[in-house]
Amino acid sequence: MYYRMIRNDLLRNKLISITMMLFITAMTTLVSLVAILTINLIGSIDTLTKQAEVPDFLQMHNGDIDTERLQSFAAAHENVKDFQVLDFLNITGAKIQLGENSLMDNIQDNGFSTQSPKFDYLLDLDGQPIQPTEGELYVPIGYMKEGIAQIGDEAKIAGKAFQIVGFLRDAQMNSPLASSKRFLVHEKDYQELVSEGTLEYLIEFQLKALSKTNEFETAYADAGLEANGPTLTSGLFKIINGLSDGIMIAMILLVGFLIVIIAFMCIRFTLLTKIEEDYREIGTMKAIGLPLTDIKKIYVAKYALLALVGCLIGLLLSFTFSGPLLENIRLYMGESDYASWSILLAIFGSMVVFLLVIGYIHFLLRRFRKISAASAIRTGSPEEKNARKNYFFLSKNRVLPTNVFIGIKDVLSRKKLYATMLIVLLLSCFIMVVPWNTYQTVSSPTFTKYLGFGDMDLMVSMYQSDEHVDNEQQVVNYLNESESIEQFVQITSKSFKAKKEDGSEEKIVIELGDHNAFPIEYHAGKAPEQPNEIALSSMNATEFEKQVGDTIEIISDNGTETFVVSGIYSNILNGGKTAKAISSDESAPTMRLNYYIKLNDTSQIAGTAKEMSEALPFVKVTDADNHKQQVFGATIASIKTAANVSLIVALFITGLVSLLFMKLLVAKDRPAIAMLKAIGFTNQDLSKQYTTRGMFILIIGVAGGSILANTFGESIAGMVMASFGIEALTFVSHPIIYLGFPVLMLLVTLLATKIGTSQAGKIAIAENIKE
Amino acid sequence: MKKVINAQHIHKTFAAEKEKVMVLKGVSTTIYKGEFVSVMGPSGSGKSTLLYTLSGMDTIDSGEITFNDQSLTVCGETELSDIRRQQMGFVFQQPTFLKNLAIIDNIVLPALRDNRKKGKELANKAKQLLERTGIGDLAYRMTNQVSGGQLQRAGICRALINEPKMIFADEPTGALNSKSAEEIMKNFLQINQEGTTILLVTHDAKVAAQSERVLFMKDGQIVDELHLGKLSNPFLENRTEKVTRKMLKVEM
Repeated sequence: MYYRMIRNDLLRNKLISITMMLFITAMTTLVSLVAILTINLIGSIDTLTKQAEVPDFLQMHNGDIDTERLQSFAAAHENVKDFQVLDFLNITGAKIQLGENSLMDNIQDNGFSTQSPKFDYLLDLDGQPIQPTEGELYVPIGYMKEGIAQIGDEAKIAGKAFQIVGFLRDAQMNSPLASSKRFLVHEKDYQELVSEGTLEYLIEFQLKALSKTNEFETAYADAGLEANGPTLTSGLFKIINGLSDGIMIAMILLVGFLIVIIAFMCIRFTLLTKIEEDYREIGTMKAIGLPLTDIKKIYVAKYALLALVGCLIGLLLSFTFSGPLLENIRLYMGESDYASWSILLAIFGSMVVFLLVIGYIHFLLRRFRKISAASAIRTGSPEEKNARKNYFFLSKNRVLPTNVFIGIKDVLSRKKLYATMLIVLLLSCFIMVVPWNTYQTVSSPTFTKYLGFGDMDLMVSMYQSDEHVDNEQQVVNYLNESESIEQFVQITSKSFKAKKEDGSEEKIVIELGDHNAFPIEYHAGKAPEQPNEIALSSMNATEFEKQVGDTIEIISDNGTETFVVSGIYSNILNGGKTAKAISSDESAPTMRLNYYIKLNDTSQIAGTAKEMSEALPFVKVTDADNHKQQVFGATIASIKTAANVSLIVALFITGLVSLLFMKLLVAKDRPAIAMLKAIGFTNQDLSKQYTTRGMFILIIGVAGGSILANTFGESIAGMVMASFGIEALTFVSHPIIYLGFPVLMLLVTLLATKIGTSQAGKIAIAENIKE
Repeated sequence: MKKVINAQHIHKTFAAEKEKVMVLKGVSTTIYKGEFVSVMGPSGSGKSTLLYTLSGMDTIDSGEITFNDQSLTVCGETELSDIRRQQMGFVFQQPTFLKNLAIIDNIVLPALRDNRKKGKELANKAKQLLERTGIGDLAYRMTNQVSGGQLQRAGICRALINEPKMIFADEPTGALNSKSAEEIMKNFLQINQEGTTILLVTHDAKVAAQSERVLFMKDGQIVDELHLGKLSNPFLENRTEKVTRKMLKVEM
């Protein structure tokens, strides 16, 4: 009997049943996808970390090195399990030719290495340490992804010919967000290249107790060992490796969460409408003595069937979609050890969705207890409560056309009913606007203000070296003489120590110079103007627990000096930990010199950069826009894809829910529609009334969604961006987002309303008005 | 006398599941200007269907219906809507209103559709109608704040707002107590006296007895007719008896 009842019901309400199933499918797909992707991402990172035997502590160093001193520090420190120093031969991009492509414009620090003897292995795509033979070159996997290199291509490194025989995974520097990339060559080839580049060192430690990494870091700094470069830990490598895909998972999670809310709202709306429709039947069943549990079973069984089919399809779809989405993770990090766990968790997630749906149906069906058999049979479903006070009278309306007035009045009088559609439209607008605003913000030229440098055209960087003073003079002379340069400023990065709140000392890199020449945005306070003022990057502010107005003690060879924190800014470069001051301290060692440059003619950026690189071969010239593009290019592209997908999903939800809602509304309003037709209202009149309802809700939904997107949405995007070190993100929007998108939603809603209410014209007056 | 409705050989079938049920089997009837006609018959005899088809609210399978010499069978949906709105008025057994509009707004609704600018004038007219039917003080109440009888009178006011040529009433007293039913019938009689043609479907012999002609239906056909003439109150009981006797004969 149940089977027949369910079958008849499903056939009679095909659209509603399919829509419900689609939502349950979408819900399961997303929940299951998040499970699969998260587990695989964690698994792949773990596998890569294990296979490559990543160092737990890494100090990059530029300059002279005392290996013996380091060796004795490692031997003396109880937490050190293993220690090594690897060479990283930094060769300028102009000297690297991969097939047809030159890395001249590449902003990465491209370095050449030989395979490590002990740990920190460079791996092939099977996860095995590579042992190249002479003339062979292994290229970072990222360059394969970008299409810069192919296996079999000939490569020319500083004039020496190599053959690209494979790609390598580097647990440290895989991510496009890591600023360096390692190439792997044979020891003999490496020796031939040494004279062509500048040597940097990777001072690497494996620790016995990972929990004591911070203590080790402090001990290393206290020992005054080589530290002319960034300090990194294994935890940070994991974060950098997982960030790009993590953002994608976070976005799926957000959309998934909203879809779950929408799906449950739709289930609630359709079920309550169905109960209302079946009120007399339910009353009759109660009256003839059917137990409540039996009556409930009929409803639960139907939704259980829909949920079961929806969950199964969703699960299968998640397996299908996970393939392409895992592609990037697999390429960069290899297979995950937890693949089978991810499948189990996906199945578990789908079961949770199924049980949640059934549980929710049971929860909604509680109201059966309140149905009185007698009144249900006599009068049908109870009337909706009308507004207690009536402020708008049709007979007093002189402004709106009658049909428009009736439409709006209906929405205002039955707010509870229309709330479902309103919330769905509001969330759709939110899903649409937030990713697009994020994309617009990240791709806008003003985004550089979050990167820790001002609105410049070019940046010239120079590491500390023996010829430092001569080189510096050469650069200054060049910049002063060049006619294409409008303005430039010299910023010197120096390494100091600063006292933390707990009294311990930590390394701090301070950029010294005039920070008002190329101003950046401070999300608190302002740039340092007095010699005793300092501005901290937000990561440093957190690290040292400082706010604007606090003081911080900076230790140099001249002694301890107290600075007042004048401002806090966002910075995503150099590990996000920087500081800015104007004082010049000659005692501290210079790490690098930067020159921020503004050109007279911005169309000449590329040309000027090339000229500069040729005239000053010892510097690195960075095109600010290009730099942003290369660091964030992949992330910006993913955000754009996510924004496009969100747009389509949101429009689809808008259309589907509007259609479903209007169909149910027409079914619910049958007597009123029949009455209006009887007293002479035409089908066009009815269409206008329902269109008004749809539009009115849409306008409120879009307005509400936009406000929500700009407040709550901005905070969410800000939270995601904060993981890059970008604080206080403010959306930069585009008129099309607030004008074009509502028009798209309007068109979809109009179309859905038109289709959804097309049955209104076919409602037979006689059948629906008699009783 | 001028014919308001002329129906010839109308057939109407309802399709129920797998079988078809013929509800009207070649009904022919004429209603003249100013008449007050009742239709009586047992349940399922087709009396309500006749009312809905004669008013153009329901379609017919074959036959011909004219309203004021205009054929309803050739009219499109929009034309039929215009005729219903401008020339007909309807009163239903269950007074159906837009629940979120006040009573006065429901009454002016069919008139405002064509005369949006005349809201004030129409509101005054609605108030006069409400006064006439004895519920003048309920104009700005919501529909759930008044009794069934009061609501039915509001329904009559709505039917009259466009000064229709004819009113169709489908068991207008069916859901009311006897006191309310009496008051409603007084309203109908008054409207009829003022010249509006009325076609009313009822089960109640006392209600039918107040009309001047009664059509008796059985199994989809008009099987008998009773001419009572205009009502004069002292003879109401006699007329009711006549209608009852005729009805019993029809049902046997």
